[in-house]
Amino acid sequence: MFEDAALLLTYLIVGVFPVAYNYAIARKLAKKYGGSTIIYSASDEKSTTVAEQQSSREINGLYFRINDIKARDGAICLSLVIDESVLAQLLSKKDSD
Amino acid sequence: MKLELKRRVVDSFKFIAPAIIAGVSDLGASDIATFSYAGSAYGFSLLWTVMIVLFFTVFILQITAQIGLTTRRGLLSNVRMYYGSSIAALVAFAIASTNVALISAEIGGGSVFLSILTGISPVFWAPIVALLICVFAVRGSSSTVKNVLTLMSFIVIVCVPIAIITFPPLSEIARGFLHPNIVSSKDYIITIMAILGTSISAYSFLFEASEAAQKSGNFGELTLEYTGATIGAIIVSLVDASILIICASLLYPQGLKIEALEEAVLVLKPLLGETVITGLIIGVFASSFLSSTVMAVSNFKIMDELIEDLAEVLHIRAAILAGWKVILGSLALLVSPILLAVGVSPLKLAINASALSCFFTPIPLIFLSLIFTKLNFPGDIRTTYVKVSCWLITMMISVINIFGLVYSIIY
Repeated sequence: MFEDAALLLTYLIVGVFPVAYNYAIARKLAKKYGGSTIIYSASDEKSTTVAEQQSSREINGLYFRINDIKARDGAICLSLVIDESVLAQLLSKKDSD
Repeated sequence: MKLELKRRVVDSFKFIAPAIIAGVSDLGASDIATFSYAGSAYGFSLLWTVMIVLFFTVFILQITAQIGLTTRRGLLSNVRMYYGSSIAALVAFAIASTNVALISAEIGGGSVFLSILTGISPVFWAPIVALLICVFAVRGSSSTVKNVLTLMSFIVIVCVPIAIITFPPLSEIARGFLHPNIVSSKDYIITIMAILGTSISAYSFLFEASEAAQKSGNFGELTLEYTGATIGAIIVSLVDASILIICASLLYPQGLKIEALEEAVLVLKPLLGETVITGLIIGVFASSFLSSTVMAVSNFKIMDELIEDLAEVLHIRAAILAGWKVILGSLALLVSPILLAVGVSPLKLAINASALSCFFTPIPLIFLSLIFTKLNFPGDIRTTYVKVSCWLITMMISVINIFGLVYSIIY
């Protein structure tokens, strides 16, 4: 009985849990940074994502968020996104002006 | 809304389907040889290895995809960047060696299946199969041929219902899956190594990491990547377990240990009939041919990188070594025909070559773990547990190898 429990525990710790945990990490990354692209990653420094940069842009008072950055034909293409609520706010502000 | 759902399903399928196809195409003659031998010689007692291999394969594929996606580089490029050209050359050599071993197993097995169909000796077929693989790898094949072969390789899945109709004892199967049973014999240890070698193929580390590196690097796609890899690995494990169960149910109780590869297929003849068996043989051959071609292509690519690394280490121009690429790549395909010609049994060749592949696997795996340990994830993602697990799995595979090698030498 004890042997069976120990075996099952080994399967769980070395088999099921790491796979499930990895999946959970992927889901968390997708939820938090879904649609974002990693722009830097190195061993000694922390990776930053476009999503992390979004927050700083918002603090600085910009309305658009950067969804994606791509290099094409020697130029950098930015894909910008605006929240529905922010757009509504902007439009209402424009109307009131 | 309905259109959005349809688009999402199609998008998901685009990611998941290639991973499933890659998994199923990976099945071949070496799987049939290794798992049928394991079943006929040791009954259900080696089923636990299928379970372990399933978890290890999925986990390693997840790690390689994460490395590729986060660094936007393949495994060898990462090794070169962090540890220099000489270490990258060592890793490339280890992966190329696993490829050569597995290609030899597949050519040997494929030739046996052709000999069952035609009645002509495998010694005749082996050089022809090797030549065809070389032509396909160097010149590439048309998409129609590739699609037909891929479709045919799916026939191997028929092993799952076949295992069910042999009515195996469920309690023994459950015991086999849950109770790792270690028998103190050289043959048993080599069979375990062959199971690991044929299932955890090092070239898939390269494939998965470079695939992920080439994609957009979008985190949202990582879960789909995992799902595809998991479904593919589950299908492969189901087929492998089924082959083992069939032989453990039909041969082991009668004390009939498989001595030749054709016995593994012919034992099913009374149960399934000539037509189904012929279909199964064609399916296995197609699968073997596909996986050998993929490995041969992977070898040519590795040699490209190996030549650059060696040129840097030896301080010579890469162009001087470039001519050796095709020669070395083609020589690797000749190993199996030569061994069959000198009288080596295709079954023994497949099992020993798969065990040899397992022997070289820890080298890329150690560097995979080292690079993954260096990786920093954005935000508040905690990866310590996964990193520890990565090392645990690497150590387990390495220990099995060292133990197997020492045991083989002593006994």
